[in-house]
Amino acid sequence: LSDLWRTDMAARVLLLTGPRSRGPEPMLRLYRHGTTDERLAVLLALDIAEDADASLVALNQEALRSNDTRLIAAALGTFAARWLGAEEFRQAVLKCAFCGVPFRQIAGLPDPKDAEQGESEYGESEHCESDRADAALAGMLATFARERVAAGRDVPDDVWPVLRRFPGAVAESGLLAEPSAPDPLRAAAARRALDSYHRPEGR
Amino acid sequence: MMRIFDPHIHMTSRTTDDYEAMAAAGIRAVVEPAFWLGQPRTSVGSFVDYFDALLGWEPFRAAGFGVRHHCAIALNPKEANDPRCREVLDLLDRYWAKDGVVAVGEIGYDSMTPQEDEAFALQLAKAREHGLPALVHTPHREKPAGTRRSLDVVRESGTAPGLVLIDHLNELTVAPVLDAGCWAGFSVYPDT
Repeated sequence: LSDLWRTDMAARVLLLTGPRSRGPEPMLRLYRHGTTDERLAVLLALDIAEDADASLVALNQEALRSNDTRLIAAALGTFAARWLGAEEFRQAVLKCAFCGVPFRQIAGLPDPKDAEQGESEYGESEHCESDRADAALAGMLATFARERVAAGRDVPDDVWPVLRRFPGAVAESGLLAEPSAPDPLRAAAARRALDSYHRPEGR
Repeated sequence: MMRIFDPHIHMTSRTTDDYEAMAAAGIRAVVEPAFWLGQPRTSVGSFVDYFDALLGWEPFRAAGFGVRHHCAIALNPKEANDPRCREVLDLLDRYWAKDGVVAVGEIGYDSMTPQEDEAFALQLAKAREHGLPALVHTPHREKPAGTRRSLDVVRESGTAPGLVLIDHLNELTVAPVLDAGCWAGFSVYPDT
């Protein structure tokens, strides 16, 4: 059990995925009429129900438009990794970086340690459910990192494993030139960011 | 520090600065009763979005400040007079069954019209059916008459007076409310 997977949540998910609850209609209705807990249960159930209808990705999209970080995190499970469009997925990951949802809660981004073993194999045109990170996503995250640094702020650590796989995106963002910014706060933030970029944790 | 429960506050119209100040003052839990928004609603859809916010966004926002947010749901007396809004009465059962909805309210009177009579009595009966307490708003105008009439409606409904909070009382209306055995509420305004 966890903060999200409480007993009542597990019971809701069981009701939604059990033999008496088939088809998209009950999930759709419960989400549309549900409290946050009920909505979370629907999003969790989508990852578990084997026959979940692809049209229900509309619920993930609706949750991703919210600003409730619990809904955003729950909307990025395996069902979303399979059915969200490329640009939607990138925007969702960027939103997580922005509002502090940990990337480990996002299906479709591999565990950083596994992902960094090899070269980045997937171009923009390919679609792999277990690894949807691509150069375009890295470009968005690098720009986000530079914006944070320019404001003298810290960058969430989650972005670095993705950016290390796409060094071209970092070079293109202008982040590497930030340590020579005239504003000392901005330059210091840049040095902290690039330290994290160059020195992966645990290495 | 004393821990405070605020039983009547409309956080929808409050800033996050207010949440911060409330938490600093010791407020740990609130009840936000559903009411009017200043601009009259014209459709059931805008009620649905409002109620969903009372069950979704607002508790999330409150939790960020360590405040537990609960709500009371009802068709308020002001908007009970608009036939375009009254249809929301058909949807309220699904809200009264939800976790986080701790009462039926605000019900009561605004201008004491027959439409308000009907919505008030019906929702009091629903409160009984759902085992929920009721939060009754008393009118700004003709408050003594409105309060007496509210107590009559409560009596006729058969609802236990101990499950009814009559709010916005003043010097003239507190005695009859206490005599009737209802809870006396003092969510008061600076000038009315």
